[in-house]
Amino acid sequence: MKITCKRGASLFGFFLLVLPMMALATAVPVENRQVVTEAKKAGMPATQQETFCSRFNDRAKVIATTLAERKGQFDRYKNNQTSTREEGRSNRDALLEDQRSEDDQKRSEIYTTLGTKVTTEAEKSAVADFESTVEKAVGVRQAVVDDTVAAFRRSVDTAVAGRKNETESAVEKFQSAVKEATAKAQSSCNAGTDPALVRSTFRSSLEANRFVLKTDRGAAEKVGMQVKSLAETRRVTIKKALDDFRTTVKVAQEKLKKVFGEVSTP
Amino acid sequence: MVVDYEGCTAPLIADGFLVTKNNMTHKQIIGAVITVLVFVTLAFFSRQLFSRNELTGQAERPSQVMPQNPDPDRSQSTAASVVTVPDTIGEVAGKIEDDALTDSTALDNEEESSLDQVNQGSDSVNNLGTSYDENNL
Repeated sequence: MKITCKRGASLFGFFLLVLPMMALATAVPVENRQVVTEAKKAGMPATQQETFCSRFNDRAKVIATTLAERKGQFDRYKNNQTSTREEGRSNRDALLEDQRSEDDQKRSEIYTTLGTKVTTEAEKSAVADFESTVEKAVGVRQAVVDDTVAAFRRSVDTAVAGRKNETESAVEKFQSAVKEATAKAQSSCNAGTDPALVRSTFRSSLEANRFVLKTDRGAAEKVGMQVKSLAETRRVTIKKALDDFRTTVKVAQEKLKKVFGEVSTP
Repeated sequence: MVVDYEGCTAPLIADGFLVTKNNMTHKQIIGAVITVLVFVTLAFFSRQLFSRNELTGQAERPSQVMPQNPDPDRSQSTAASVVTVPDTIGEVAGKIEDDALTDSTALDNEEESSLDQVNQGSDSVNNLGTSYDENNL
């Protein structure tokens, strides 16, 4: 083997250019390389058509496995839907209860402070009235909120239940249709039908099934819109309860101010 | 291996090694190639390590954050429990009205949670539709 000066330099340059590319190519994840390969395949429809039947078993297995896996995810969601919803509600109830207890504590400290300012019987009576009025208003506000939230939950349950069957049947229908299309394509391949025709028919079936599922999926999206609408309606009730509460507290405060001789600021 | 200095005008012999016109000995060429190989190997391993860190980082990030603030709602409410008692009666109403915030967010939380669940259902149906790509058959 002869190595000339020029050849040596060329060899060195070649290593310098090629090796980093080799290293980077090795570092590219396997999945990405598969995607590139798939993309190349997509650009060769004639070859795909010719080999469609010979590759069909593998393709069908991949589709069946992915479909089963994703149907499993849907089933898990479906089976846990009610318990997940109930669990979330219990957590929120507990959190609301905690916050209300803290608010009770804060108000209690405010009443105690007001009590330290009392010097006459009239002031003492005014503070007691104020406390009673505010506590009653708090009770009314909380009751309205609790009732509204409970009513909202019932409405959501009804809306979800109303669409549940539609969604489930759409999923079942989709799964059966894909299985049927796969079986039909397999049978056509076995019968020696032109692979290009089998492929074209199979593709059209899958495309149509996806379109039907997409349309049926609209049912789930309708539930979302219903939930928003239900919340908007209930929000009006909550707003009124909060406004009523604020007005009551304001009026009670003005009464208290008068007794204590504190000047109201406009 | 025979090194031919064709194209190099003044081959010399120094210390028993053949020297090129550019004063590059056979040893130096091998050394340079080895240096490049080492550099490339290091770059490759650094990249591999970096990719692995990116992957594991995604999985680790939530667990690193979670313990610091496991329940933001509760932390907020704990902070809110530090009571500032109003000095004047005029401030009393304002303090008491703050309670209303607790109830005003109750329905918002319900709505948000319900929508999250509905969207999860919608996503799980959508995932079924992407089980295959009919254009890639």
